[in-house]
Amino acid sequence: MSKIKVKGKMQRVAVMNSNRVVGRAVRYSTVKGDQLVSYASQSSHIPESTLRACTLAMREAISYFVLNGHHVNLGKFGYLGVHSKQLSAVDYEQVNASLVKSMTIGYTPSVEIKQALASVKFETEV
Amino acid sequence: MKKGKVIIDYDARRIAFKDETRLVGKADRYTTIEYEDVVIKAAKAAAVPESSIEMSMEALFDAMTYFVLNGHSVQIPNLGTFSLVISCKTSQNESDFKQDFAENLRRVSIRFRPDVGLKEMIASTRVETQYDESLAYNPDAVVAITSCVLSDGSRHYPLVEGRSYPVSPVTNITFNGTRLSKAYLGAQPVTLTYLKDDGTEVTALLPTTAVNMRYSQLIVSFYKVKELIPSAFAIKAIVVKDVNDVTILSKTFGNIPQTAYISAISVDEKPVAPGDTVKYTAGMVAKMKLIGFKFNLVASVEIGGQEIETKEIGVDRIQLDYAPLTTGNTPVQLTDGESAIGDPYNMSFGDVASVVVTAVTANGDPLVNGGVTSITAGNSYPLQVTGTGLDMLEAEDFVVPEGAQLTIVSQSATMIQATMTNAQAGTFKIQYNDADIFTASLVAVTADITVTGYKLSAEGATQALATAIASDQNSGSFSVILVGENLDDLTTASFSIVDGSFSGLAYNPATATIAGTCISTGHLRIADNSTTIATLSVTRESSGGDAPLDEG
Repeated sequence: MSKIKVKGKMQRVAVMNSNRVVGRAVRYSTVKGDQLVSYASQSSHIPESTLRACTLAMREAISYFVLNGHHVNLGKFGYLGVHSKQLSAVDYEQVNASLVKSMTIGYTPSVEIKQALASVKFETEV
Repeated sequence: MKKGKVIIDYDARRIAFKDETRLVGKADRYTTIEYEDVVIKAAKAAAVPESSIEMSMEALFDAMTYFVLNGHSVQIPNLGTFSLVISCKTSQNESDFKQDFAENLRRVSIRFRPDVGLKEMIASTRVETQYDESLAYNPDAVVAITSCVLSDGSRHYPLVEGRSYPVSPVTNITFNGTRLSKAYLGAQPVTLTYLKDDGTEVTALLPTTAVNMRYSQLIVSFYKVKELIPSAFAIKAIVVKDVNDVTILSKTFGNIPQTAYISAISVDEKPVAPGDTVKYTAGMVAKMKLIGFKFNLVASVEIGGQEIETKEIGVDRIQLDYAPLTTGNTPVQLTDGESAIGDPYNMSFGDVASVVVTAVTANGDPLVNGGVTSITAGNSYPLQVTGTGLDMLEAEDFVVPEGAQLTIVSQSATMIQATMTNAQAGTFKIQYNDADIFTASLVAVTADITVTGYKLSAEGATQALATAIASDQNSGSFSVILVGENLDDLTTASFSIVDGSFSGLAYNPATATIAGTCISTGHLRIADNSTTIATLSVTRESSGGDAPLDEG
């Protein structure tokens, strides 16, 4: 069973104009790509070299599809897709690429991940 | 990697807080690439068996899930970092935080932050807008109107040129489609057919004053044709907002080239029913035109919610053009005492002033008051009353001269068809709630004049005709002297043959004599300005019937 530590911290909440305790998930170390591959290799007995090659190939494939406007299914992990923010226009003559203010890639968890998130236990600390 | 391409699709949407329709874009999302397809592409690119890719990714995703769900961030090189985030309500103090955390927890999710390299690739992605090139605005382009919704909610597909849509005289029609434009409607006129109350059809083009918007929805309001406007819908307020050149107010937009699209112009036109109020603040109003029929119009100015001036006028028709309240898109900031509205109101505005226009019926009387516009009557001739609100009248509301009888044949809001028989001279009235709303003196009512033995007897005649002399029974020639008032106004054209056969009819105004030859007996109609004032009946004394004169 997964467990997440949540730490409460007293801080100023502007909209409420008062000091309140705000909770945040405690984030441990960042697992780097090599560490991830090593861990996956150990748990699946797939050679690390194979895993690295596959990771690289998948990364390229995912980037290609996402950057061309597709939504990409990552299996039981979820979806990646491109999102954009742009200014509105009065008429079509004003519509052009300069209205696009930002573009980013968004992640949507799969049903399995959502179920796993729902079963996460939390441990609070202050 | 080759640069990607994302298309931004723009749609017209209502922006609630801006109270206007604008084009809003979003990244056009193509198909979802299924996991198997990603695996196939990756397998081909890496020359690795698909099964290996699948097994590897399974292992990697399991590992990622494990780490993320245990509070670690997981970094996929050149792709991004996944981490768990929570959202929870704040607590008053630390003990409450611990105690109520389960209740306060709102959402647990995984956030993805793209890698720097991926961000750079996103930044270099080519962005195309849906209408950049291929569908750039072209006045001659075919614009699609996908449906037409009438005010009764009925929807018609599609709206096509030459097709008629019966609508009630007062209605709103909403067109749904893309890039509705004056250019389109001008190039391909859309006609609509009104069905008037009397059953006749009126075909009209779409008004051009309300079609300067190239949005996905266009609302056009139709009003009854002028002669049929009832009081209840007789006032409309037209407000033109943010017009650079206010002199073009609702007259015509024809001076503006079609290629020079007028931005930020909108025409707000709405009927004001009795008792209804339409309110505009000064900042919204560039110029306002009020048109009213058969109403008392109350226009008042408020500053800070306090009414500072009110003007009331009751007219058959009123049209007032207010002075511009804004210049271009910049509202004029007026100080107290400064005039912002022209004569006759000359009202003062502050920068928070508002204009309130309220429509009320004249003196609170029923709408039929003053609604009768014309009446014609003749003995044994049909009587026709035209006006507005006539469906509220009943037979007893008609007061006819003594001895006359009135029978209503048909009745609608704008016309009553009736028959009056045995009509005599006298007073004709139409009443409503015991008040006279129309009075006419039937001095010109038709009188039957019978010529007996070629001598006129004025039976039933009360005013216009009294005597006549006829002569030459065998040849049929006759001469009738008319006695009455204003007979010198008549001409030969005033006499027409109802039945029978006459030749050589001529009228001499100096002697008030109509002469001619009667070939077969019949009736002559005497009319003044198309109004029948008498009928001459020419018969033969010896036979007592309508036999031809030459038979005697």
